Amino acid sequence: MFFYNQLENNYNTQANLFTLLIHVGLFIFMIFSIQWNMQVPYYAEVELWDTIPTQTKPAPIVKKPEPKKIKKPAPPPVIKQEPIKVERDAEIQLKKKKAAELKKKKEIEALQKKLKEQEKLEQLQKQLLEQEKIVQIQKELREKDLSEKPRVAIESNQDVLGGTDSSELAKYKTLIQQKIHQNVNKQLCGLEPDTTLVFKITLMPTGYLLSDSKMLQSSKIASCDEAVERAILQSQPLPVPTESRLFSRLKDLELKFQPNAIQ
Amino acid sequence: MRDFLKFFIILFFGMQIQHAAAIETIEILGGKANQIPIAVTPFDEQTLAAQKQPQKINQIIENDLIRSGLFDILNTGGVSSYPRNADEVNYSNWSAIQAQFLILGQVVADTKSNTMEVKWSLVDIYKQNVVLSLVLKGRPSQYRAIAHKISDTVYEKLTGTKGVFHTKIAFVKKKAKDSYALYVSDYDGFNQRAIVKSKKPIISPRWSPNGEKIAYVSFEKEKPVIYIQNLVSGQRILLANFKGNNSAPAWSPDSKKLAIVLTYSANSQIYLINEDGTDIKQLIRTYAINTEPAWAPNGEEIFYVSDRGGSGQIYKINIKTLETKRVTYEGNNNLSPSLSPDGKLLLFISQKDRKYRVALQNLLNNQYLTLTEGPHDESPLFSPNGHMVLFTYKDYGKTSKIGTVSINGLTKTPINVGSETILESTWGPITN
Repeated sequence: MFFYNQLENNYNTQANLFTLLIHVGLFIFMIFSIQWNMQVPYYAEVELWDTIPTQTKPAPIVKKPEPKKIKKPAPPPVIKQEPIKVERDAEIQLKKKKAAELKKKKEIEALQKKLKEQEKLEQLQKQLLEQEKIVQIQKELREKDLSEKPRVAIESNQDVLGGTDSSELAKYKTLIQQKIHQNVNKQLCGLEPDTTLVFKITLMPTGYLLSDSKMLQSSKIASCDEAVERAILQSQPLPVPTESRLFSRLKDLELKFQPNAIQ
Repeated sequence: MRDFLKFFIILFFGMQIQHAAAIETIEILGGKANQIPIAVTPFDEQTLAAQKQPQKINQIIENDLIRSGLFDILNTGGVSSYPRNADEVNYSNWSAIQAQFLILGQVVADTKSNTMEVKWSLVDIYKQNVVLSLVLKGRPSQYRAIAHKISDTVYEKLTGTKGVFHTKIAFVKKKAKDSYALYVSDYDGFNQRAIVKSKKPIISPRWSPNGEKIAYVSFEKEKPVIYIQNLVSGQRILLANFKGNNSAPAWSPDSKKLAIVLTYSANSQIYLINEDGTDIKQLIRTYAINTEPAWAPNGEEIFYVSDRGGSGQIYKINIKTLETKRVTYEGNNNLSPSLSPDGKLLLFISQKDRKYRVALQNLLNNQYLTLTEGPHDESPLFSPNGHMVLFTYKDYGKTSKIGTVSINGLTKTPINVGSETILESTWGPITN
């Protein structure tokens, strides 16, 4: 009540509500988006290479063409000055000469400008060609790398999973399922068909558990809970993809067990 | 204002969806009938006076655990040294032989007071911790009982079900042509003692669920009649001596009533009677033969064998409503029903291809499993924890014997009670 009594008009109410909403929003954002894990994980993520990658030759460095020496325009022909016989003539002659000199100068400047532009264009074209070549070489190298070393992760957009990736993911999920299934001792889980257990595990890239498995749902039969936990432990190392992008999808897993379900 | 609200709602739920999508789920349906790999070290018994024990403590424990079918006993021969206590365990030695658990211990005897102390531990090799460390005290004459007690403790700890290694069985031995006796012994056949002797055959012994009495059928009156032997007082009463044959006694779960079979009117029919012989009444009245009753643990239903369908099959009847239902369909004939303590499994003899085998039916999903190969198995009964089956078997041309089979069918073990013919047996309850 005190809070509302303080408000004088509707605008104030709105402003306060905005403030409140933004704080609530920030609070929710901090709770759900930021990982408040203060413990530094004691593992290091490494990428395993089967073989040492062959030293690929660096793209041949295309020598930058030396800027073409601009041909210096020929010095303007020296005009033989005739001795001025007549003063008037001489003046006219001088004016004419000056005009001619100006014209020639302008012509030379225009020529020089044209030449410079041409040179720039050529350089630009060459640069473009070079870039294209580099891109092409890089592409070739990448393709070569991919075919020779499929285990090497390639940086690309994480959110996009292609058809091959999802089938690889499914393959590893099946492999994990099969390995754990072998070790589940269902004799310790009674006979009720709907007995269900859920465990959460976090894996290291080696296929071993990073920490103890966490039981999210108990079977309510102690020996069964123990047997399933033991089955997970016994299945180590679990088959995991070495490609880091796929592994990141299988790092955290939820395992749902129904030991008495008919397979 | 609304736009702001929308923004936050979308932000919030968007994050949730992303969060949910981040974890992959793998479903694992079913499992295997695996055996728990366990090693039992020889106990240090140096202080114990030279004993005439046919088996050492570790051997008794090994035999117990093998018989249950749930354990794989590992050969410890390759391990360089045996720890005497849990502190001395070299975990890598035991994980090298794939052991998940290890039982170890030592016996300290006091000759003056004629007592012995067994200090033992159960160690989890996987988790590298000590599960149990206990001390048991007793007289040297209790050597086997102490070993069975260790087996029971380990069994309950690792399977969640009480062990039956300290329990008793009763069986009928044919000692000579006119000499029969009802014996009681440890569940593995040791420490036998006769409680009833007769010149005429004794059959169908059935231990009461409270452990105090054994009902049996005797031919001493030149026809089958039913007696109840009180194990506490030593007295016996004649329960049923009606016109015709009196046979197949079956105790109710509360040990107050019995279902019996009489040929009083014409063919075999099932009757209910109080344990003191009073209040007899007919339960089923049909033209077909109805025999071999077995009480369900809920006390409300009786499973029995009837030939009303042309062959011997197992049916069940509700005692109050008299509602009847056929239970078995597999094989030519299904005989001698017995219910597991939780009422979920039905045990019986299945006759197929001229062979009589012990079979098991899951009453929840009707899955069927044959536990033995025959050719002539009889009278299967559950152990009091429902994990083993006691039954009589006979090979072609040989005398009949008794043995156990685990309910997963993995371990079939004879019970050595001598070379004589063993007619039938019954398993006593778990006592504390």
